[in-house]
Amino acid sequence: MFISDRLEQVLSRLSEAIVPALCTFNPRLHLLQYILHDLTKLETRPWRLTEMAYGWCSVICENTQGAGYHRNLLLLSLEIGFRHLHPHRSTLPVKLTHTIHHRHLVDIVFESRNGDLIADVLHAWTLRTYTDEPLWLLDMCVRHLIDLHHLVPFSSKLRQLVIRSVALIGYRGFEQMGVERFIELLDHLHVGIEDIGEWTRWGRLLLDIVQSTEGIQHLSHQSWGLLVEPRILGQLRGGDDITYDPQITTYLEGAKEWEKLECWMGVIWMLWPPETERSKENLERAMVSLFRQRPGAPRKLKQWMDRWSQHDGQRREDVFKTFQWVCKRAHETSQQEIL
Amino acid sequence: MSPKKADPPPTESDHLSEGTEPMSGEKPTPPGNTMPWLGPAALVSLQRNNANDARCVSWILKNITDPEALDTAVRLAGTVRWFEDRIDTEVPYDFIVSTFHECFGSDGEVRPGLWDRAYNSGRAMLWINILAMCKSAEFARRFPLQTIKYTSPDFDDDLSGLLEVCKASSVCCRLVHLLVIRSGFTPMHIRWVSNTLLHLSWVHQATSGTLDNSDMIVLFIHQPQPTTIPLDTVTILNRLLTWCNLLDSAVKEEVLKVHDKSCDTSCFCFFSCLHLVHQ
Repeated sequence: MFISDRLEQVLSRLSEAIVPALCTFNPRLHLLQYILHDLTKLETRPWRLTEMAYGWCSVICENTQGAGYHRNLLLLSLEIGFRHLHPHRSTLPVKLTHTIHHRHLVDIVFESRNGDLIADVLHAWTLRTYTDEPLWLLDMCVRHLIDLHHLVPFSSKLRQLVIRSVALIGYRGFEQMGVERFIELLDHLHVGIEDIGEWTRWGRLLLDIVQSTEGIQHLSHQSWGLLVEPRILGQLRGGDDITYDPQITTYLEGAKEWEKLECWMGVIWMLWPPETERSKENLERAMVSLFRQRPGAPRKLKQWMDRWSQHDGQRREDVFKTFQWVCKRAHETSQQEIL
Repeated sequence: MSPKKADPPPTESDHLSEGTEPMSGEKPTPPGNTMPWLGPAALVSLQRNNANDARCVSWILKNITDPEALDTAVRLAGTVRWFEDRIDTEVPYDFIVSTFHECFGSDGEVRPGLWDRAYNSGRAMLWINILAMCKSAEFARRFPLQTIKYTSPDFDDDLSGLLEVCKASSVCCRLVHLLVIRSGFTPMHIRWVSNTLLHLSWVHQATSGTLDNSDMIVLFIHQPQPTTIPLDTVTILNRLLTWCNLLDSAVKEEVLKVHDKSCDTSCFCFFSCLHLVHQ
């Protein structure tokens, strides 16, 4: 029976009283502003308060669409529910009930151009709770997210939550807004491995980008470096849903994008290691041309493969041996050609 | 110069003062700490301590002339839960009221050097009046809060805030004034106010039910701005309970004193049993 228990009891009671008042336009509404302001001052907020506050958002949106005086109450509720959460918190043991009414939050919050509020709403929709993440609500944010970095300064928290939102939405969600604009957003985010909680989603996202005509042209070297990160690729399995596109190798060679080709070779070895003699020969040929231009590439590739092969058993060891053999031959060939 | 800044540890009257260990294990209450939803034994213990405090304050104010002792007793009078000691300790209300009035000159301004005494006696006066109102309107007539027109220096926000509350003509107006947290208030004052606010909301709830439109007009006229200064959890909890009372979800005082935490009827049953045990 600690004070937090009591707080939760009182909050439940209060929430029961607040909900009917939120639906009205009578003068009692004026009281709610003070109540909600008091709640924003709670330093230690029970998780259940997040659930309640998110419920208030729904009630306000349902009855007023967040217009007029209710807009302030809506934004305060959002702040009460999510402002205190650390950006790295991606799960919460509560049941957030996402309703159709919450969609009104999209325009209200993004049009406020308030980075804290935007972070609140993104947190609400990227949290893993007892309910699924509302991807349909996140999808509605795409048109705002795509240019957000031009409109709002990114705090560390907002940046983190945009990164998580981008991972959940995926490449397909942003494609329609223009690949260049999307890549510009990614460049602004400057995502590092330490920023990523969802390695699988990021791996897929980056693979989707490089396998698009515009994406392969514009994706920055930094993002290529992220794509070839063994911790990310180690989560993926090359198969039917992640198909190998040989055109990418051809394009990168033709465009003389040697640094990107180096990354791409790493991706191929980790995701789609060659199984036939013919595919080995094709890969060896590309590696020869790469090694000729980038003498440091064999060492770099070996480092990646070394880290990648240390996990997940015999198969990776076998791939690593094949890699070493092909790499050695390609290296020797490239050296002979130079001489 | 400011004894009020160094209040004695909150007593039971500080209704929701610092959270402590649960009472269910009948652990001794750390000095100065009390809590709501008290277990029976803890409640008895606190009531005993409170009764001692009440008797002590009453005795000092009647028999001692040392100014420091009087100031300390007056300060404590603003936090002791009067009328709950079951032996009808005489409340030194008249003495406190006269002490308060003596702090002000004929020009209505507080005499130099008496700011703290004015604050502590005014606080005790208001507190006793509100506790009496919690019992009944008729009972409260024995502890009237006279209309005052005093002013306080600008630098003492606690005192001027307190005077504003005392000047207010109705329970609702007082509630509104108590809701306002000025940036110059001291943390101790803010906490005391939150506890007083809670008690006044019980009075309001008992007499008027919830806030009606005429009450809201008062609120609109005064337009208190939400505070920007940080509040501690106890203060917020007191204010949240107040909000419950002012909306349609009143939490009765009795509920806060029983072991069962669920704010439902079972608490009242439990509390009734508790009364039987005590008698």
